[in-house]
Amino acid sequence: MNPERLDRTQTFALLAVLAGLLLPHAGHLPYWLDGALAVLFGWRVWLVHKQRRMPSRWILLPITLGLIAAVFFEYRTLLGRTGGIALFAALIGAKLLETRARRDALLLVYLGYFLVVTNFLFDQSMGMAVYLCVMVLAVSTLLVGWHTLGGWTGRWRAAREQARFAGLLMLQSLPVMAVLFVFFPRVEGPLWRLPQDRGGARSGLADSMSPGSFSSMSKSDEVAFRVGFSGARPAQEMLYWRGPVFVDYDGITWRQALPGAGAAPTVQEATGQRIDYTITIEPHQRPWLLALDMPLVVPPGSHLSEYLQLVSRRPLEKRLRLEMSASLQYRAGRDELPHRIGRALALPAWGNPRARSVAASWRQLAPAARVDEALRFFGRQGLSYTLTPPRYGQDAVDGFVFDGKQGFCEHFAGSFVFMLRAAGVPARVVGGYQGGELNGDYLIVRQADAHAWAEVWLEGEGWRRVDPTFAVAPSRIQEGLASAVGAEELPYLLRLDNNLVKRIQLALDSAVNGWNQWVIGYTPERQRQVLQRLGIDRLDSSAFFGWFLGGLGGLVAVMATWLLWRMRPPRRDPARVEWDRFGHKLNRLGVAPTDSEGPWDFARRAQQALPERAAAIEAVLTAYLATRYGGQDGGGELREAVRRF
Amino acid sequence: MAKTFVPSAPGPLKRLFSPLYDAYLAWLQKRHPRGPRALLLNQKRVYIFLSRSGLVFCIMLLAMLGGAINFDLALAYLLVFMLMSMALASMFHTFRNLLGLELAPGRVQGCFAGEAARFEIVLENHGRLPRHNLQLRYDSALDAVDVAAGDRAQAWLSLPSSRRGWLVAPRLRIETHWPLGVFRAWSYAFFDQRALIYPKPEADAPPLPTAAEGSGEGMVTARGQDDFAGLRPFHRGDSPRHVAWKAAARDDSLMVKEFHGQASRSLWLDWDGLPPGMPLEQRLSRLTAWVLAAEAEGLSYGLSLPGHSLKPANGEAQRDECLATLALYGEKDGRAP
Repeated sequence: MNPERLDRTQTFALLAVLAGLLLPHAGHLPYWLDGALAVLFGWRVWLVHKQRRMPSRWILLPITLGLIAAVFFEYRTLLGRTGGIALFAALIGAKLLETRARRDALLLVYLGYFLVVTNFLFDQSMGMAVYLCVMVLAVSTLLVGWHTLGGWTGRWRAAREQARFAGLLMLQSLPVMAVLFVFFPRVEGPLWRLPQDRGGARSGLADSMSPGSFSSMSKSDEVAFRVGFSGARPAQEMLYWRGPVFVDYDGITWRQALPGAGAAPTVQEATGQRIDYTITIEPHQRPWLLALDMPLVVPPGSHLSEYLQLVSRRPLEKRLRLEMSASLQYRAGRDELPHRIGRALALPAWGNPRARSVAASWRQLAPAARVDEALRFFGRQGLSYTLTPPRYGQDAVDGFVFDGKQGFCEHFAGSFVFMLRAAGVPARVVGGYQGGELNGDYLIVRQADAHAWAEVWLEGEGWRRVDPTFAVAPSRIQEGLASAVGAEELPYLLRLDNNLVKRIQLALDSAVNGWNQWVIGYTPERQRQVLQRLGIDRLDSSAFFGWFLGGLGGLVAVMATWLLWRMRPPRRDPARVEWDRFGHKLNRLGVAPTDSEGPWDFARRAQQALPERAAAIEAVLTAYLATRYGGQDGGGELREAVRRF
Repeated sequence: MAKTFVPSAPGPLKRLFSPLYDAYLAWLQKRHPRGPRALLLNQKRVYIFLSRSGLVFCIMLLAMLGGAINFDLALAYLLVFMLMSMALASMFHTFRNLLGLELAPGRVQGCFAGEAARFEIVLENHGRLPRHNLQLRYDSALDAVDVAAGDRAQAWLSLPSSRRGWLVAPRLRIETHWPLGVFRAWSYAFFDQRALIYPKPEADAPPLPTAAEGSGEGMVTARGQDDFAGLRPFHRGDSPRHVAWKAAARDDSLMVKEFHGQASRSLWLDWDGLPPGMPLEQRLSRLTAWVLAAEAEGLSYGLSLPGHSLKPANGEAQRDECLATLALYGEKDGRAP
């Protein structure tokens, strides 16, 4: 067998590992490519199994070019996250049918590591990390087997041994890896941006609010963000997480007034206590952030819009961790610009006549009284809070307030703002989340906690938050969704009862949160904080190099010492050492020891050659035999006898 | 004695830097002194550097690091750092795979010109960990062995021979890429190992000469073995084919069967008996073929070369001595040591 050729077992092992690495991509790749890859893998397996020759270049070349062209037509690019990975996968499939020499296969093994990284582009969850950790072990095992004599030719014991060693190597790499992870300078933002990097699944709040957009989220236990408070946690009913602000209404849909590049109204007074917290937002692919109402800081890379909304410069494509502060009592926009007030009063010329006429009757009241009257009106109407509201047609506000009377927060907030505008009070709808579930020392806010409320503008006061839902179903705000609607309406995990599954799920979420905070969320910002704790202010300071290089150097020194210690020669038998010294002495006298002689024969021969020293030789022999074989300890007598000789 | 090591066919680059290269060789010789004795690969003698595939590995890591930075992938950072540290750990393993290994020259198997001579290298592992996939090289000759902890192993290297005379072992190179192939550790040893290459026996040589000149002992036929003459005690150099094994089984003494005519009549393989004007190498080649033929037929044969002759005898010792004489005929360093 040619040792430069891949054998059967090696090929199967390589194929299995590559398939395992491509498997998580199957969902992102187009179906035809999944199929093509399966065919290519199957073909290779068949060739090995039947011991057929590999296809010629003239068959492979068109296949490869065809795959590249197909990927291009699918994505209109060969770069970027999706197109690039599709191309990469296609090329690996083609390369498989060309790989017969071990040297080529070595390249494929290295590409295995690369495939691991491509998986992280889509998923950095703990489960994926565990899976890929196993795959790294598999790739490393291939690599070790590669460089071991005999390789992994069908012997399970050898493969197990190599896997064990690869695992050992991974364990040994952990200390240095940790030092590098903590200290390697992190760079903000992308170095380059590839086309089509955006996209992916969207979840969470939408740009606009139309009937059903909130209630559809209320059944999702998906996590929107997690919050850790550094001080006291505010009361549940104060936890309004401000998101998109919907200003424009066309009769059906409330739309966000983005982008608002105008001067933001300053928060004139933040009278309440300052609340410091850390929020870790799951990527939602939209260019806004979520913050406790009202935010006091503007995180880097974002600004506070004219609607008091935190807007990020780019859509949130990855999990974001922010250190935030908020004040729960504030005054904002007291000197609001007229055109914004005008926009907050605009209504379409048609529709909802009943609501308009009721609202018109409040006009003689002062603006603040109109708001109170509206709340009282909503309370009187006998409205009920439900996840499954009926569909309201053309005049949705009338339909909800006067006929159906069943609605979700979006109906409450939308109708409330409509009626206030009709009554001449500037008002707008604010989308976001309300509340959250406490798990240990942090709060989980899920999509089901999505909420919409109203904001009204009053002369001399500015914008004031008014939550019509609270007026009708206060338990929704005070105790959460599950207490406001029937349990049977909600998915299992969102129900109130504290069952085992729920507890396990919360424990898991706690682990995920730690993972997000310390591994995934190890951003330049976080690194700065950690390093500051070590007394490192700047990355070009001597303290940094001291820690970084000192840490690495120390670890390397420990490794080297351990290695030399492991490789030290076994301690030689002291009796044997003395006997060899005796042999040297005799050698100088002309009696050379030979390998084939035992001590007895050698001594006898020496005695014959040197009869005058026979007694001394006898003494050494006796002492040696006694020390070596007689179980006599120490060997001092032997040393003495050899020395005297 | 043995010739000094001459590097085989220096390439253009080596020729350009020839003074540098010579200095390098001198330095190497100093570090790895040529000698017959075992050599311990200590820290000074083991070198380590990135291998070619290690370079590919590094480029791949850089690409992955670029991706990690660009897409801000914490796990990609983690993986890159893990692979980096694994490579670092593997550097120690690669180094220790050679560190403290003892190399010793072993047996040498000579051959006829054109065949491959075999050199044995004995590797002794004094360490407490096994050593994997040690690749030993004499020029193109390659063998790879594992050595278990506290154990020893042999590697056999086959070097092709082109001409008769001494084939001096080139610089021995031992290297390992284990475990990940990212690093390559290597060392050198210059052993006084040489193989005696006999002249290539002439193919289809004419039959053995039937007349022995000058000895006056008459004709020799090749049929001597049929005439069993009796037993005599074994002497060193007797062919084992002639040992009377049945007799040896009866008592302890080894006896050799003697054949009629063998003791009295012997064959002289004489240089001067060859056609005049025959080239030197061809003469040696023919004589070699005759030595083999005579030995195969169990004859007693002597060898006569200008300025040197070997008395007729039979057996492996005689054969080897004749072949050695032929191999070294006219060579500077003359007879076998």
